Formats: sequence, C-alpha cells, structure tokens
Amino acid sequence: MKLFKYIRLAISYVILIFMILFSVFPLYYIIMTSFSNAPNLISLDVSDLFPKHIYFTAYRVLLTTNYYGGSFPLWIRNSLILASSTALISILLAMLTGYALSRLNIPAKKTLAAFIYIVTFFPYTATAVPLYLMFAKFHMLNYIGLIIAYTPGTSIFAAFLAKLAIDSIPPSYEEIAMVDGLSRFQVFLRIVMRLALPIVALTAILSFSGAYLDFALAYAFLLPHISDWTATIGLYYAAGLLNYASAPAYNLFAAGSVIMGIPLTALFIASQRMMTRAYSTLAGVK
Amino acid sequence: MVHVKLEDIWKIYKEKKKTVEVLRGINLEIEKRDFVVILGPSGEGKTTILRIIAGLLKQDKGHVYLRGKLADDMSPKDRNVAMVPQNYAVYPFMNVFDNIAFPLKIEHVPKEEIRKRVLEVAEMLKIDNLLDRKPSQLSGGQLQRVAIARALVKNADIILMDEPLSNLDAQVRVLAREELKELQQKLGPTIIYVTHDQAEALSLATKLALLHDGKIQAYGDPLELYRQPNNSWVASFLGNPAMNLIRSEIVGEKIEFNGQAIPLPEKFKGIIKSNKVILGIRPENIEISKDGDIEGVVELVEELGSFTITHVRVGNDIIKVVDKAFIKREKGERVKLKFDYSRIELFDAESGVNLMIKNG
Repeated sequence: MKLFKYIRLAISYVILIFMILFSVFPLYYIIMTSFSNAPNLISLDVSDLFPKHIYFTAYRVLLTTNYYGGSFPLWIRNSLILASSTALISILLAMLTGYALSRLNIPAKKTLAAFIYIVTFFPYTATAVPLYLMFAKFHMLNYIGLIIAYTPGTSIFAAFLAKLAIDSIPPSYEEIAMVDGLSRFQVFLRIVMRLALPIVALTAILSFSGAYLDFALAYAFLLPHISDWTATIGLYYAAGLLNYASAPAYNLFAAGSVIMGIPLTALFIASQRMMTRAYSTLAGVK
Repeated sequence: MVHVKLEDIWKIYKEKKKTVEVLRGINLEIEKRDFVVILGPSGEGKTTILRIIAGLLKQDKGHVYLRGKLADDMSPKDRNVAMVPQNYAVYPFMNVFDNIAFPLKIEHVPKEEIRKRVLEVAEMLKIDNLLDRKPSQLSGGQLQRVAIARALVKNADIILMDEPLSNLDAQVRVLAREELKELQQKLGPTIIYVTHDQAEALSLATKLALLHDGKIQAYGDPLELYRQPNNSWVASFLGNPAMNLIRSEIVGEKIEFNGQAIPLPEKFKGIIKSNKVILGIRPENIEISKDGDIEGVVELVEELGSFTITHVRVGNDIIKVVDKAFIKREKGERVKLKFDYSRIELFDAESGVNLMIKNG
C-alpha cells in the first residue's frame, strides 16, 4: 500500500518537473541571453546553458544609449504611465458599467449585457486600422488618444466580469451603508469596489499588461516622435529589429525584456496576494 | 406622540405587462418606544415596507412621516434610522470594531468618542472580546450581535429589523429574542421588526401588525389579536394550529353546521344580521369529552410531545383540537367534542369581519 503511494507521488513529480522545464526554460533562456556578450542567440549546447561569464554589456548599452532624443529608461517610463492610466480608467469604466448593468434599472439591460459579452470575442488587433484612421481624423494620435483607444478594449470584458461579481454581492451591504449615511456613489467607491476587489485586481492586471505589452496600436499612433515611444517600440528599434539591414542584437532584446518584465511581475505578485486575500474574505461570508 | 407614520402607502411593481400591487394602502401609526412587529406570510412585501421607511425605495403613493415630519423626499442618510438586514451585511473586509464604528466614521465623529461608543455597545451585547476578529471568524449569533451593535451605535431612535433572528438555530434564537426585548426596554428605541415567525412576533411585539394582501389586516396588542381576531384571515393566520373556521348558519337560537348544532352564546344575541356566519374557535378551546355535543371521527393525530393535535372530521369540516391529555387516539375513532362556548367568535361569512368588533 505504501509502495503504491510512493509510486503515485513519483509519477506526479516526474510530470510536474517536466512541465516546470517547459515553462521555466524560456525565461531562463532569455535571462541567460541578456547576460551574454554576443548579439547572436546562444546556441543550444548544454554547456552553453551554464555560462562561464556574465556580462552586463547589454544592460549598460540599453540603459545609457541615447537614441536620437529617446532612451530606453524614458520609454519604460512612457509605457508605465500609459499602462497605469489605461488600467485606472479601465477599472473605473468597467466597474461603473458592471454596477449599472447589475444594479440600476436601465432600459434594455439584458440585451446590453449580451452585446457586451459578444463584443469581447472580437480580436482586438482587427480594430487597429479603423482606430488609427478614426483617431487620425480627430488629430489624436498621441497618448490621450492611445489611452482612449485602449480602455474600451480592455474594460469591456472586465465590465462583464464586474457585472457578474456585483450580482453576487448581496444588495443589503450597499443599503446598510446608505442608511448609515453614504451616498450612492460613495457606497460604490467604498463598499462595492472593495467587495469586488478580485475583479478590480483582475481588471488592473488585464488592462495594465494589455497596454504595457501592446505593440501594434502604439506603433501606429506614436511612431513619428522618438521621445514618445513606448518600451515595446523602443526595444524593437534598439535591438535593430526595425531595420532589416542591420543584424538584430538579441542580447539587447533579451535585456530589455527582462527589464520590462520587472514591473509586470511585481504587479502580478502584488495583486495575487490581494486577490487571494479578497477571495478568502469573500468566502467567509458564504 | 406618533413617531413613525405611514399614510396610504402603495407600491406597485411592473414586470413585463404584469403589474403586481405589493402594498395597497398601508396605514400605520407607530408610537415612540413601541416594539412593532410586522407579521405576514413570505413574499407579501414586509421588507418593502422597511425599505420604504428607510428611504431605500420610493413608494408610488402615500406619505412617510418620521418624528412628525414628512420624509418622502429625504434620502436614506438624512432619515437617521438604523437597520439590521436579514443577512446582517457585516462587511467581510473590516474587523468587528471597524464594522461597528463604520456609521460613526461616516459622520466624522472624533476617534476617541468612536472608541468609547463602540466599546459601550460591544459590552452591552457581550461582543467586546471579539472586536479585533474578522467576520469570517464569527458564528451566526455573533454576526447578528455585530449587526445590532452597528445599528445601536448611531443612537438612532428608529431601528428597522428585517428578520434578524431567522438565520440562527432554534436555541440561540430564543435567547436572542429575550435579549433583544430587554435591550429595547433598556434603551427605548422605536423598533420596527419584520418577521414571518409567529412565536417571535407574539413574544417580541408590544404591538403587532398583520400584513396580508398588501394591507394591514390588524394592528394592536398581540394577545388581543390572538384572543379576538378582527377578521377571519387574522384568525386563520395567527396561532399554530390556527383557529378553526367553520361555515355555519344561525337558525333561531342555534348555530348549525354540518348537521350539528350548538347554542348561540348570549353575547351574540341581537347583533346577528345575516344568517350566514363563520364560526371560529381556537383548537385549545375544544375538548374531546364524552359529554360533548358534537360528533366526529378522528382523521389524523399529530403528536408533538407536550400536546397532541387531533384532526377530527365533522361532516365536511376538519376541526383541529389541541389535546393535552395523553390518551392515544386512533384514526377512525368516533369522538365527541366539547366547545368552550365563551371563546367562540363569529365572523361575517361574506366580509370576514368579526361580528363583535363590527358592532363595537
């Protein structure tokens, strides 16, 4: 009987280790490439996977070079501002829409909810060209335009999730807060948003990473001004991927990816804690 | 002084071509320090009344007066009422202290004062040892105390309670009922309490309001209503088992039903106008006895421990009898029933109104 248990454990561990290899290896590979001195991709020799030397050349180049008025730290900053504002506006928009769909007596509510649900299935890149044309007409090919273009795409799915989350919150929480002296909007901010925290966190992650990692729309909107670029465009350029004539510097690209990954990883870790805590407190009610 | 007054309150819901009149002219005058229980079957709009008093819902017609002032256009936060909802709505993301302090924090009461008042009510409700717990660590009874503490901490003189005891187990519920009653007597707020539980209503209320068909069917002292229901619906609803209601006819000096006849009690003589009446008698005022004058057949026996409910078929009617004697009765047994004639009520067969009350 005991033997059985060990065999079962052994099998599950073998499968888990196998899966870890597949998920961790690409990350490891990128990190190793970023510490490499040579611009080419390291060949897949087992001995090369454990580098004898660690070079910081790629990071130094990336963090110090000035590219015609732009620099990688500046682009990262641009990206962070862009992504955070998109996330903030998306949260507000998604929660307000979700609240309206869930609580308020608005006409054609069911149709609207179904429509929102269907719209979320449209691939977002399909809208890049019409969005570009539309915002060009309004002379809004800039940050504000880009934020306005991002938010509906990210918040529409979140709005649907927010509706479902708010549906599951008993209205008495809001009613008691209103009886105790809050206005409806204060109740929304202090009670509903707090009770729907998992969805708020999820919306934050989705919209932040959506805007932060976007290339197509940012490229279309911001290309003419180097100082306005986001990290994705900047990295594409700095690593020489924009110019077909030059050889791409993959170590630069890898280093840029690692740097870009830091805020995203931090956000994931932070919100993961928040989400599990929120879930456990929510579960306590039921 | 009338503390809370509802004047001809109507509430109509429209749902896809169908209109539902939930409340159809509610009139209620509640004195200061009253403990009013609104009792009615589920889904009859009891909670709707509370929500209208709190200002969470707007009535379609009629007026709400709070402390003598018209409150129709006041928002919930300006009405200065407190509420204990059915599911307690204790915020899961705050600990007990912050939950109780929440209404005071909204009013920007100074921190020291908040501490003092929260500790005061927490001690009163015996939850002062739970103040730093999270709601997920509390039992149903403790949550209910937190919800009541939150309602009391505001010092609101009108407290609305929506079946606050219905989620507790039977034993805790009886204790909580007693405590709630003591608390109300000590602090003296006006409490409007909604429930479908009769025992709760009868034991808590200083005044009982019965809601049915969107109207207050009866309003008054609970025991008075129990002894002398003002109409046949109240008679059929109050009490478990409820009052026996038998369609009868007055023939001369007798009340006849199903071929049986009993003498017409003295008090009814002279006030009978129509021959068709409904005879009402509580199951505990009937005895199974050899010298009874009504014959019937035992149809069903419910043994409940301290007493037995015996269903006796008399013609087309089933008469329920509360039998405290421990005599085993069998289905099909022939028995004789003896009514306590002084406890008989007569209702008009058409309007259902109690004949005694109708004539003052």
